[in-house]
Amino acid sequence: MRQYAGNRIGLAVVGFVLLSGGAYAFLRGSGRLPQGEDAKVLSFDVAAYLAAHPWISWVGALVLVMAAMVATRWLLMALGWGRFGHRSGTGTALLCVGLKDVEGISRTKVRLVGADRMRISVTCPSSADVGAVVGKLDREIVGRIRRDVGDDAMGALVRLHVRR
Amino acid sequence: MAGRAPVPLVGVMTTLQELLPGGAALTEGDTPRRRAARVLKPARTPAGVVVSAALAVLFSLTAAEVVAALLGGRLGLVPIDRVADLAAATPWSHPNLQSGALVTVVVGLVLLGLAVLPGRARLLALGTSDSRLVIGITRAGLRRTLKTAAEDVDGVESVRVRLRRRMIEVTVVSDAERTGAMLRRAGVAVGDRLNGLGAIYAGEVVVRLRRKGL
Repeated sequence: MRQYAGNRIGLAVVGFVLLSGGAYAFLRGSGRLPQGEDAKVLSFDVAAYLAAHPWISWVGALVLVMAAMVATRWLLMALGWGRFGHRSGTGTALLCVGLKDVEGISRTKVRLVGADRMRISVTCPSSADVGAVVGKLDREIVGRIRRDVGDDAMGALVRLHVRR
Repeated sequence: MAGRAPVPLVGVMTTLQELLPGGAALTEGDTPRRRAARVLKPARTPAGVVVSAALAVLFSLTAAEVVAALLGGRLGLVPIDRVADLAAATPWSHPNLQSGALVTVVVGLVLLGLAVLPGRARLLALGTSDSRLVIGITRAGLRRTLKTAAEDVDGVESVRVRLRRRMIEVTVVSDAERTGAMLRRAGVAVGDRLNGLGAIYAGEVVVRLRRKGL
């Protein structure tokens, strides 16, 4: 079981591109590269070449469309699309039954993410014996929920909160 | 050198895997701490949403504008002509371009830092006996439960708990005359609560005393 790594990969790629581009522009402008620093950013030769070969612009447009699709997919994934899963009523009921001895338990929630992961949320009052809650979750409750709503190999992440 | 019979490595690994509970893979260093760190590591969601949204908008508009221009039309969403004219008129050594390049380098470094640095987890890991289960408690939740444990000690007026990177600092406020035993009991209560939770925490617990009214 791992944390979603898509954001870190995307940030690394964008960061590397920005760092490389910025460093090149700075070095080029400060005369530290063999090319002349007084040359224009878009030289006339390049503009003329692009005008003479319109297929390059079409390839550029295709690359832009693909980049836009990748960025949109990244945005949807970053917003949680396909990662939040759906609530499991049976799992939540089993969780509540397992913790029925603990006074003041609230906001219990079990979500199934795909076929191999489960996210559980529990909030208990500060007066509760939180250690006992953790022990019950570890030894009994999560295993029981796994057996009833998924399979035994399912990974589970429990978020425990203590309210005032 | 004496010859050695080849060891059937695959067979040995299979046997060890069978011995492990739940058929978990035997990997060196797969400790509960590492497992929890892997799962609870911040996903960098806010930065990911901002950067991906900016890129999606920028790429989509530019692609639409370029395709429209290639087909002989014009959408007016992105001023491509003005950007091209500006690029054709600006030398690499222009001060604004140099400043922009430095800003770009800094932004790139920040994004790379966000991608590479582990960051502070929103949940603190608790120990479990199951390799496929990770339990995390919120920072506020851990503060509250430790505060409650320390406040239950006789003579303690109020408690403030601060979670630092390598230290849990418990400040006990009291007006008791003899504070040594009370401070020890508060430390024991906090330690017992941490043990009961099975908190995977590398730092130390420091209990401080503050006289009421000071």
